[in-house]
This record gives sequence, C-alpha cells and structure tokens, in this order.
Amino acid sequence: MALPFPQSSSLPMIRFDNVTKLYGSHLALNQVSFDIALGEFVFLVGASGAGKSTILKLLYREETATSGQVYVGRIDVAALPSHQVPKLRRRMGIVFQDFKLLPGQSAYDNVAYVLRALGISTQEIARRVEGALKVVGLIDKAEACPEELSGGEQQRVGIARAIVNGPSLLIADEPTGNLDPETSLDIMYLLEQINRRGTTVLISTHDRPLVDRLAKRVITLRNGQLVQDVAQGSYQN
Amino acid sequence: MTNNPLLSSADLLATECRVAVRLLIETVKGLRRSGWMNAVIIVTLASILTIFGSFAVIILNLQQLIRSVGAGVEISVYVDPPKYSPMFTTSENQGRETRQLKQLEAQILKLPAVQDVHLESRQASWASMRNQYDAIDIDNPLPNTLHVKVIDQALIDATAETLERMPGVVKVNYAKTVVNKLKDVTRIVTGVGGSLTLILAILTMFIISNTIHLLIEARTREIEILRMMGVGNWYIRLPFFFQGGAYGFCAVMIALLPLSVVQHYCGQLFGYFQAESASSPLTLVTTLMLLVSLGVGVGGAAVSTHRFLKV
Repeated sequence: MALPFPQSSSLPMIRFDNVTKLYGSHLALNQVSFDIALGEFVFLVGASGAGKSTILKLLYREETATSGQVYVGRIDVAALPSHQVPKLRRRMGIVFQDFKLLPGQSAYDNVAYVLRALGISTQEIARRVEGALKVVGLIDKAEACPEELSGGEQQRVGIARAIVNGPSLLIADEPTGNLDPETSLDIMYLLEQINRRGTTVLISTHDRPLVDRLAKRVITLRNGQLVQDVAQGSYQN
Repeated sequence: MTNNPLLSSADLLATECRVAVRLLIETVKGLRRSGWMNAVIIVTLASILTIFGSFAVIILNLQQLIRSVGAGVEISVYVDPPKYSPMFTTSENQGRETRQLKQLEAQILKLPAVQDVHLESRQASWASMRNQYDAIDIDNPLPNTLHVKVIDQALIDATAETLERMPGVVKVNYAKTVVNKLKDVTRIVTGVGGSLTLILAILTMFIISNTIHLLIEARTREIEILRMMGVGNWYIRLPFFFQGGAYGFCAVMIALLPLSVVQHYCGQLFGYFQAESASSPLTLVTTLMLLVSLGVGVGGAAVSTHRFLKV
C-alpha cells in the first residue's frame, strides 16, 4: 500500500498539532504546533534539550506523542500500525550527526545496503546508488570505506543513503555537528541543492552561523516550547 | 530516483526471491560472526538430541516389545532340576532330570487349556546366552524352561496359577507379568529421559539465546540503520531465527550417528527376547528430534530477539 504523501502544496508535508511529549515527568515538548509545506527548507533550532530531536523522532515514529497529532502528509503518524512504520520511513530520508555508516563497507555498499534488503535488482541498485553518489559528489570515491573518507565525505555518503530511495522528505539531525565550519557549509549547500529538486528538508541544528547564512525558515524551540517561527529567519537566543 | 509502484507479479516474485537470498546471506554472515560458539551450541544440542533420541528409540522398542509380548499366549514355566546325587553317575542324574521334565510335560499337556508344550533345556538356554553375550565361565545357573501355549489368551491367568502349583516349578512368567514389568521400565525410562532432555533443552536455549544476544549487540549499528531506512521488522529478525534453525538442523545430522548405533544394539537386545525390533523408529525419532531441535534453536533465537531486539 502506498502511503498518501502530498502531491501538491495544498496539503502540508508535516503538521504538528498541539503536540506534547513527556519522558516520565520530564516535559520534552509542550503544545507545539506548526506546519511545513511541500518543498520547504526549514531549520529547527534551539539549545541542547530544547526538543529538536524529539520532534524528529516523532516524525519517523521512533517516539509517539503524549498528546496532540503529528501528520506526515495525510498520515497520522501515531495512529499508523506498527507494520506500516517501515513504509513511512522508506518515504523519508534520515541523516544523522554521527553518519551511522557501516565500517569496512565501501561508500557504494553503504548506500546500497538498504536497497539490497528491500530486494531491489542489482541493475536498479547500481542506477540509484550511482545517481545518489553523483548528487553528493562522491562517485569517484564509491569504493572507499568510511575509514578512508573525511568527516564531510562520510556525511555525504550518509546523505546519499538518505536520498537513494527518492524520499519526499529529508530529515537531518544535527548533520554538521561533527564537522568543521567550511565542510558544514558545503553540506548545507548540498542539502539546499537536494531541496531545490523538490524534496522537503527539515534540519535540526544549533549552528548559528550556518542558519544565519542560509536565511531559510527557522523554527526556534526553548525548553520544549515553540518560541519563534520566522520565514527567512535567523538563529535567535 | 523514484520508487516504481507499478510492479508486476513477476517483478514482485523476483523481489521476494532476492529478499530471500539476502536473508540467507545475512544468516550465513551471522553464523560466521558467531565463530566457535557455533561449535559449542551444535555439540551441546547434538548431545541433548542423542540423549532424547536414545531414550525415544528405547521407549519405542519397549512399546513394540510390550505389544508383541502382550499378544502372546505362551507361559514360560521354569523348572528346577532335581538335586544331583553323588549316589548316581552323571548320566543317571541327567536321566532323572529328563524323566522329571517328561513327566511334567505330560502332566501339563493333560490340562484342557493347553495346546502345546515345548521344552527348552537349561543347557540350550545357556549355550544360546553364551553365544550372544560374553558370559563369565561359571556353572550353568539357568533353569529348564517349558514353553506352554494355551488355546485362548483368556485362559492364561488360570492356567498360570495351576502351573505354578506343579512340583518342580520354581517360577511362571507370562505376558501379563512381563508386560507389567516392561511398563514399569518404560515409565522409568520415559521419566528419566524426559527430565534429562527438558533440563538440557533449557540449558541449550539459554546458550543459543545468549549467542544471539551477543550477535544483536554486535549488529546494533547495522540494525539501527536498517530500521531508520525502513527495512521491515521481519527482515531484521528472520536471520536470527534461521540461525537458530540451522543449529537445530546441524545438531540432528550429528545426533543421527550415535542414534543409529543405539538402534543397532536395541535390535540385537530385542532380538534376544524374540521380539521384533520397532519397525522404523529412526524415521519417527528423527522427525521428533527435528521438531525438538528446531523448537530449541528457534525458541532460543526468539527469546533473545524478543528481549533485546527493538525493531
């Protein structure tokens, strides 16, 4: 069954409707509401513990909201049956701060790994993986293992893996957290380039210079509350 | 880079086949990662199966013996030879013994329920036993035996009572008493075998579960990536189950060897008791062993994936 992702800008790609999340007695999110439209590029900013990662985890159903609704397209994420969660995740690309690459496996194999698990044919895998590696500019290093790549290159492999399935939504959790400023900027430009191809991009970060430089929509969280949502914004304390 | 939602049934089948191949590859990888623990698990499981299988073979043969003995209409009458007197020569003593047996045989044949009497001399019994077993070199301790056949099984109890009271008769054995004894033995064998198998099965499940747990720990990163990228839960779980199943299968193959030896000796032993050995207990026992081993192997994997694998 194909999951109903929005095809036009009339329906938001992401909707948080009065979402609260409690971890025990700790309030991680407090009545957060916002919409992200199809094709938008949005920064989610805030200090550590502000609730950025919780929002991302609610999106890919690693966690469920204590109250309120989280929608991805028409899907009420919390109401999705467990066996449908992998299908939801296949329609998203997820990029991690620590890259989460498999050591000892080439960049090609890292990107192809999940496609193989999904039973996609070798020819189709080659077509998709080469395409993704071209997008991130690593086609020449397809055979290199993560240990032989710089931090920036490793994150590019992570991004190639996230986009290899042609996702409608790309979620990146602190994608530049382990990178130097110059490499971080390159990664952001790469994500912006992917966004220009039509993929909705949501990035959690606390990298102020990058956010200010790209001048995209910025949602600011503080102690689990949404305190600011500004189009073409900047990082506010 | 878009997904193609319009897959034909042939494409879907091809996809399923590729997934199956990947699952087998992942299973083999898991086995390679487990290293020497594979040998520990398989040998332990094979030992359990050998114990379980041996008890099962013995029980099946005993049941066959009970059936064959229970259906019999024969009473074994054990007769003590007359005391050898130094006043007579050896041949005279033997003559006394033969006369005693002939008299008894004639007396028994007069009983209305008796159809036939057949003598098995103690010398013949002793020779037969020594032929099959390495008996130590002692004087023949066996009595003479008269095999008495009754007309109807319903008359066997009354006839046995009459025979027991006859002069020279030391003991009477027939189906009912033997069957009861055999049933007691079967109960003990079943109890001991069942308990041993159960204890060892739990132990092996524990070892398998721990090995799978270590594998899950070693694959945490890989599993997390698979989960986040939308790979189905069963794709992640199944290789662990297959690995448990592979342990079971290998263990059965190993256990078949000692088991065939047990069956060979059972055949010899039950042949001595003139009972047919159970027709093909190995087929039944192998099937039972496969079920037990798959249960233990897959069960061990299931315990670990349930407890430690968050998908």
